[in-house]
Amino acid sequence: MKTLKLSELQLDTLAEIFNIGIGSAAASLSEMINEDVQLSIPSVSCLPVMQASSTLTGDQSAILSAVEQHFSGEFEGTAFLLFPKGESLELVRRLISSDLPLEELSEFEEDALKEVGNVILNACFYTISNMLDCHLDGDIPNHVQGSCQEILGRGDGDIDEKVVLMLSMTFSIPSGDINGEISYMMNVKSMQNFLRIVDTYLTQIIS
Amino acid sequence: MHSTTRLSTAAFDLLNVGVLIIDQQCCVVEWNEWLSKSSAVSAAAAKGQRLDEIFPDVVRGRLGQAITHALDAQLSSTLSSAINRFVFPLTKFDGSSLQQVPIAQSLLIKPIVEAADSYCMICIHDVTETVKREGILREKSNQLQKLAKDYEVSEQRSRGIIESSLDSVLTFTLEGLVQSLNPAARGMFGIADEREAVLSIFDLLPELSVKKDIGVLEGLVIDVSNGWPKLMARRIDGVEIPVEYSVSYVDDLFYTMVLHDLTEREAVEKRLKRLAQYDGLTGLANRRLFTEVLATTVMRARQHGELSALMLLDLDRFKSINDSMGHEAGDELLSQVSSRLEGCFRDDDLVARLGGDEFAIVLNSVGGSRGAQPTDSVSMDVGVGFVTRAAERVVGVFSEPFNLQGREVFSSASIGIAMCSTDTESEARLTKCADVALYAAKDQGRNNYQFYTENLDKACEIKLGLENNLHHALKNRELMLSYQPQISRATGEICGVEALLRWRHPSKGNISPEVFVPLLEATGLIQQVGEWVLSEACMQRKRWQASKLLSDSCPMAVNISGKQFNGALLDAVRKAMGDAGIEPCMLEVELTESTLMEKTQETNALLNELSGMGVAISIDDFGTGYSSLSYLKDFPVTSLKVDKSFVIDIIDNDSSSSIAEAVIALAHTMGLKVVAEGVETQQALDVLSRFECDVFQGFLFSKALNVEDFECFARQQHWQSLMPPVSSGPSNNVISGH
Repeated sequence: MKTLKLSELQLDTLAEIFNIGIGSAAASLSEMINEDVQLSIPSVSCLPVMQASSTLTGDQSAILSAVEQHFSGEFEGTAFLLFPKGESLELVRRLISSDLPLEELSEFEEDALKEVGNVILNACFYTISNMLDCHLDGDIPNHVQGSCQEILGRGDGDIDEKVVLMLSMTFSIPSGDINGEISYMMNVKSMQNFLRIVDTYLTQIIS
Repeated sequence: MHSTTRLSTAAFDLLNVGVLIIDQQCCVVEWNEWLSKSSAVSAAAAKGQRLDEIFPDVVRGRLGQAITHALDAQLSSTLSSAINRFVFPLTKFDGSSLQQVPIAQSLLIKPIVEAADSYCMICIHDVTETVKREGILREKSNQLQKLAKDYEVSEQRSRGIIESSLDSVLTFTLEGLVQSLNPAARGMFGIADEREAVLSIFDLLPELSVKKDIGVLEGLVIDVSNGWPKLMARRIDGVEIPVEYSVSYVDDLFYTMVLHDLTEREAVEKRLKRLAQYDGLTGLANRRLFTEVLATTVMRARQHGELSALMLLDLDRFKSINDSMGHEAGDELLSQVSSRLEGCFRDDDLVARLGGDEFAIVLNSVGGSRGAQPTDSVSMDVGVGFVTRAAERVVGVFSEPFNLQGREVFSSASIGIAMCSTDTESEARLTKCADVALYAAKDQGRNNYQFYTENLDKACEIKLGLENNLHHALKNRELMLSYQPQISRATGEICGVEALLRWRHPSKGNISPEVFVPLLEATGLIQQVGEWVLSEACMQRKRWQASKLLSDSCPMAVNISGKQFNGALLDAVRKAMGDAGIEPCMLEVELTESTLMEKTQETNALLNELSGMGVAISIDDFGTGYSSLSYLKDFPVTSLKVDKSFVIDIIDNDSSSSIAEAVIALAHTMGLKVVAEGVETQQALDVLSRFECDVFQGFLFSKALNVEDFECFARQQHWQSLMPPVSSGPSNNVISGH
């Protein structure tokens, strides 16, 4: 199991960058929901996959609803937007003003969730790509459901080779807060590439 | 063009999704056939145009952002139909409505990098049908939800109704297995809530059973049009309770039964029955119960030879006690009489109050052997003996006075008894016999009991017949007066006439006053007849005055019955005298001793009034009543009539002779005239003359005569020869009256 240690500076920088990206996502979402949406990312951390059990719920076996979006380019991996299952439905309900029965997540609700995930993740990607001046391809989002381990454990490659960049995110809507989590899962090599790009950016700023 | 390109182009236009590709300037580079058809914008028209010129207002917001993301950052996006349903203005032909309808869309935006150029592909999916299906599904889902909720509510309501019902409701299968009991049912059968034991309806209602072959419950009555069928139910603790039930099928799957506990109701019914059967005042059985019991008694006598007896009892002169002391005292008397009566009989006997002062007692099984058919004479003797002793007891309890409102009052009863045996035809007949016996008891002077015999029947019949005839006798001129002369010892002349009432019955001939006068009194005709007698007697007296047959000092004596002796009498007397036009001195009223003894206060007043009018008053049947002599000094009486019983055997019987002598002496001492009735022999006349009796009346002189014969008698004066020599003495002065 490999670990990657990020410096304080790197973590702070990432937080800054993501907050900017999140800001525009918030604007889009506000339009979509017709409510004033505030998004914020209080913290960033980097962990091995096995350790990266969700901070959303205390219960490791809790079912999460997630939008995953694969990305490639100068670094590759999968971005996740994670919600506890109930909260995701709540969000969707507000989006499409539906009063569907609890357990049903129809095709439309899935689509709506995917779109929300898409908005947020793309906003982040866009910001990263612009500010760090790097090239990324973002794939079409998918909806997945399961425990945190199950969700993160999918995909190709050796799990031990992967690390997760975790950003906890807070959705603040007048009708009540929703807590979610953004995770970027990459293999170590990609992460190292990513970090190099971050450093480059920092250097440019300082000088 | 290259064949692959041609194929690709063909394929591109055959796609059933809309595809357009724009370049970095947002100009349309590719536009497929599907999109042309749906947008009415041809590929030729679209290519080279900016997308936001082809569709103004479309490329903004989410779509705009997505396009930017794709062109600038190679990021893919999805626009869900749920949030962005009609991004592009697209339509299609709908077969079912025969119209162009808008197309609901789901978009996919992907970046394409070709050499160094960025392009953006927009893929448009028609999700109209999905939307529609979604809508229907949702609608159905809502309906189902509503139905489920309504059902839930309805269930709760039904359950609530049954759970809260005060009636016991239970369900059981066709085999009798109890499925459910509501709280009321659990209470009724004493089943604790926690008890989950398997119960069979046959445990709870043992009178039901299973029809072996069919498996359907036997004995279960479904039709309640005649009221709910009744059963005995058994509680878990073994106690049996009376219940009524109604039952119905439910879908041939199980029975539903509703039960009412009848314990309370039966208790109430019992109380009501009691109220309906017993007399409120005395607590004795009432007429209704008596009738029922009597019917049973007669039946048992006829069928099983059980010897019984019926006693009918009337309180003597109850009405006069009620009138003089008031109804409260009357009720008190009835109560006390009832207690004493009950004490005379066994528990098995029924003592009933029929109403008023009428009582009836049914004595069951008075000793004749059971099963003896028909009742033999030995059994009858035993029975009669038993009943006689009972009757004696009853007469006995009246010997003690009753305490009413602080006063001691004596009462007595007349009792009629009829034996009930195998020979008894019916209750009606039995009652009639007892009634006849009662009548006879009253006739015998009351305060006694009489057993029914067939002779009584005859006597009774006769009496009843006469009663009926009497009503018409006056109208039919069957009643008439006969006149008997009274002869003075002193003058030897007629000094008075007694008017006597006679009844000549058209078929039965002359009927004795001893027979019909009581009937007159009993029927109340006495008032009317009495007035007629007074009136007729006065008229006749007038005629004889006019014809100078009698001297003015010769009064007409008229008998006044106890029933006439009231205030109305005064008016009758005045009217009779007035109408006839006679002086009061020409009229004398005769009252019996017993009449005068009955109501002393009123008596005094009436006598004084009569005396005040100037009418003479005579005491008839003197010496026969239970009276005290002290009244003689208080009542304004003119003369005494010695009862014929003392006169008839005055010769043979020393006592009679002594009494007659004493009465005459007593009367003289008090200044009263004495008349001897029933003078039939010369010897009697002589003796009475010796005793200085003032007036004689009897067959020796004449029987009662009609008008013609009397006038004849008066003129011929044949009696003179009988008269003793006129003697002198101070007693002679008495005749002229006072």
